[in-house]
Amino acid sequence: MPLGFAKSTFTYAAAAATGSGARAFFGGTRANDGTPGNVATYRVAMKNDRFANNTGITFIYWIRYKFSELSSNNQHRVLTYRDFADLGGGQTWIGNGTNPFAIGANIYNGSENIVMSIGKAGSTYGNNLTAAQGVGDGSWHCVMMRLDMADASKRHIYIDGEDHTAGQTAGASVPSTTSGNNPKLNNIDFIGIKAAPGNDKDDTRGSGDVDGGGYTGNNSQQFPSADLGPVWFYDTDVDITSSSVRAKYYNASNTDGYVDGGTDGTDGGASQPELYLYHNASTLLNGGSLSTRAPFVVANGSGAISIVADTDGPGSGGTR
Amino acid sequence: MWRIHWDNTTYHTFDTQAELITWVKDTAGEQWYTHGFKIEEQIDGEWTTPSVPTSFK
Repeated sequence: MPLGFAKSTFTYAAAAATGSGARAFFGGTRANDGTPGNVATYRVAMKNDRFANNTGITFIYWIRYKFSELSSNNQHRVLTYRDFADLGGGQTWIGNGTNPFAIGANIYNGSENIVMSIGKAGSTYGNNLTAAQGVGDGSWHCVMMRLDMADASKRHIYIDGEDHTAGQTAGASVPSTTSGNNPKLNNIDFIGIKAAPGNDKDDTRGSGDVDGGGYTGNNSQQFPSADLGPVWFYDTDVDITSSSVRAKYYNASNTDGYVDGGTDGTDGGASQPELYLYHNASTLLNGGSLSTRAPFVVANGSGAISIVADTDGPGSGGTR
Repeated sequence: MWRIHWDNTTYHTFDTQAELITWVKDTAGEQWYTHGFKIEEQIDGEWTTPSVPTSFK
């Protein structure tokens, strides 16, 4: 059974156990104070296999954080899917609402950047600020996003099974050719789970250096306080507008709505994703269909991964 | 000549790609990716997809 992730020191996070769910992790301090600090997280290098050069991506992740712990005026990265040259892929983030697009994602292909964000009128969490506050209530939440560069009608955000897609998608549609403007997903060199520490930035590394390049020069974009996991990452459009599809990841009848993906992401009926990142009792694993290097820890100072036990992870009802 | 359609609202034109990169960094900093935009280069008098990609790394 997978776990989520979060905090520093190799200890189990204090748990308010009300059930048994998955594990998760966090890395470092609970403060997102904009300094490298004692923080740690994981990165997955796409060494052996690459994503297909499709036009869209989909990811589903479980997260728990407190809005009060977000640093001001910054977007904290939840996932980073980039190439070393910064010419393909993007990131998904959570901010404190002082910037536009408090919860959103982007894809950049070297000339065009498309962005989508939360903020559907009438939804539980309303606009950007209230969304970041509402999701940051210290409970587990399931975020589903699909983002297609060629088809603006395929850009959606669901939180806990509810449509929160804003009318704020930005960026024109572009052709899905393999030689022109496309998402260049096949160029993605690494998946960063949350942002790596700012000191991990290394501009000298290239695509052959599979371990390098956490790539953010902005320490404030770290998100050490977020408890995170598991993560499903697809290099295709998954139609999360379908309730039957969402039910494979989120079921309101379950504690936290959590649907266990097992060790390959499929136990709830979902297709096996290209990457399925889950935590066992000691480390992050990839149960997806792509062969990657084993997820490895990037850290600063005395930061280290801290495991969220399955008695406190998604599906447990645990809170912070 | 280079130009960027920023936030899908306004065009900003520059003599060089380097000037465009500087403008984006000055305008949005490290969080440029939260803005929707499209970059074009003027080639043979036509605004088109640039001959080389643009990195904000």
